[in-house]
Amino acid sequence: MEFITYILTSAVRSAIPLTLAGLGGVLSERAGIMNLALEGQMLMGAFFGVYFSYATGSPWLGVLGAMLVCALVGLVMAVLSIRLCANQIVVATAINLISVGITGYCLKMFITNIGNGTVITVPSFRAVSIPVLSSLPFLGEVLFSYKPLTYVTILLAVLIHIYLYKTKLGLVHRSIGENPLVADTLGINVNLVRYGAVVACGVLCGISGAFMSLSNLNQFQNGMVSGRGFIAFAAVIFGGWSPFGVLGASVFFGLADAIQMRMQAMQTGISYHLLQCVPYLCTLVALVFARKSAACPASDGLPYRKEET
Amino acid sequence: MRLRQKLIAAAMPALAILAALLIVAVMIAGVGESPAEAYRILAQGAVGDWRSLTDTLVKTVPLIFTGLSFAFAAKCNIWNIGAEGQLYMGAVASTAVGVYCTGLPALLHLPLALLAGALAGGLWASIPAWLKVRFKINEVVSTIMLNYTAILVVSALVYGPMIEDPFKSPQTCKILPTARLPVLFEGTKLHAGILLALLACVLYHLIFRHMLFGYRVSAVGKNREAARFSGISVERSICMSMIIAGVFGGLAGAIEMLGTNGLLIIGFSPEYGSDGIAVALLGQLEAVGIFLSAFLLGALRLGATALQRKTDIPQQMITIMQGIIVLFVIAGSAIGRILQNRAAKKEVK
Repeated sequence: MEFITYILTSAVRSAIPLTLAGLGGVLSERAGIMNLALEGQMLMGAFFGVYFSYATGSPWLGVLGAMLVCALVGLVMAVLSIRLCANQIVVATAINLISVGITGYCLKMFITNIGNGTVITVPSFRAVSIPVLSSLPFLGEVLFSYKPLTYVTILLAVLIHIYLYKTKLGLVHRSIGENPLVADTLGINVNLVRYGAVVACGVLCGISGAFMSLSNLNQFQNGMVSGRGFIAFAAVIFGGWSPFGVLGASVFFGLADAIQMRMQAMQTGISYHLLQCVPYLCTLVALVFARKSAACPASDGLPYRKEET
Repeated sequence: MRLRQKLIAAAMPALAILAALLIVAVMIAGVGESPAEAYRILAQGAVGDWRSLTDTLVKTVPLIFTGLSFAFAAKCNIWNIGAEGQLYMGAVASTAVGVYCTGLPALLHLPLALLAGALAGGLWASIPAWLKVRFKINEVVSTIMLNYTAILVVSALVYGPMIEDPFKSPQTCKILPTARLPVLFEGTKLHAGILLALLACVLYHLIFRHMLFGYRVSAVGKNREAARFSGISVERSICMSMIIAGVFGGLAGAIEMLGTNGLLIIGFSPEYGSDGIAVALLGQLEAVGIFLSAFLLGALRLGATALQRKTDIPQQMITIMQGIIVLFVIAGSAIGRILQNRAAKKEVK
């Protein structure tokens, strides 16, 4: 029982950042922008979450700062890929490269140098125990003993689901990802919605990164996102471009990660390097099985050039 | 008109570099250092004397290969972010041949070790190629997943069966002298790898300028459907260009082992793979451009270590500069295209 509790709780911890970034991916791709810059934006969120939490003394302000910085990064992505119609894969790759540089540089300048080599403790999130519910046996620990952002994430998934499927703007949003020309003929400002989607994606990646550094690790390490942005991108595909699908896919990847970590601790004699490959290989296998591409927005990844008349 | 376009195309990377230098100068001034002094130290450390110049060339070699790796696939409109993993696979294969194949003459041993590296890189790249063609899996995601996998597999090997001494730091035995690339100038680190890199650039140029194969690959890259209608096997071109990209990546690792390092140690690559992306984009996917930008970025990398030694400016500054350069190159070519379209429309009117 204790084993199962451990696996489930650590699966949720691994799944939350994937879900948050994946929800951003859903918004962006449903509007037709293939966003491979989740990784870079998560890294920025992870660093600036720590930075603003350290500077202000409040982890909530840390998350807010991370959201703002990542909104800005999202805006850069948006201008290049929407206004200038540059290749979205190349733009995202550039953003991922530059994020590694900026976070590495700022870590040295603003955190490591200030602490003179000592580890600076950053105000971070503590678990909230929901009264009564969290003292339930098993369920209490598995469902009701996480840090606040975990519950925020579930709420966001529900809200984004309602937005996409139950509101008029959500319908417009999805139609732009399918066929921007039709949306344009109906008088919808295609690029405005796309800008909004990409910036919102940045904001969600910011929360995701800040979750990793302020809820899971309580510090920033260079390259700490280590491919999770791309796993989140895969979760969008595996989850069929829907918010709850992403949530499910993230829990699946989270489980793989949790089992792998548990096996490392059990000293099975298998090289821990090889065990660490499991999440990456699971992602590839999941993509092989997620081939039903009918759900894929038809115009995903294609710039929309409005005819200048 | 065409000459003007060519001039604009050539001036753009230069402008991007200039803009990045300016922005970084402002950043340096922002942390209270003198930009002029910083750039002087940077240049001095990179090309200031014969030794630093040859060191820069040594750094250029893997960048040329990873740059060619990204560029070859990009010509086919395939995005190989996997040079890092291919490089690790090439490195471990050539090290294995270099360490464990004893008793061979250098004339046989060295080519064999290089071949092993090239094959390992190509094989590793054939996985995303297959996933792309057979299952339509986005190659950016698959190559990145395989990067992490490759580094972990190589780590498992170096910490496990290939370790020289389990009680010391994790590294393999030394590669036998018969498999080492010869040093070109006595007293420097510059090895014959630079000649191989030049050869690879020439080959790349020939393939895309004078060979039917290269024409097919670029045709698929420019317009997949049109290429298919004209009878080109799109799947075959995609696979071949990805595998050749992998061969270049594998050679980057092999040459780094057989020329520069002499043994495999984890963390030997300071992200040569992602540097290669910057090299290829800045070089506009052309052989000469790739060579020049590999030299420039290699010089920046080397200069940055001198900068970090002598000032408080961390060497990550260079990664930022590299990213800014790439962003400007992308923005520049996009703006160029928009302006061209506008001009074309005016002519029609």
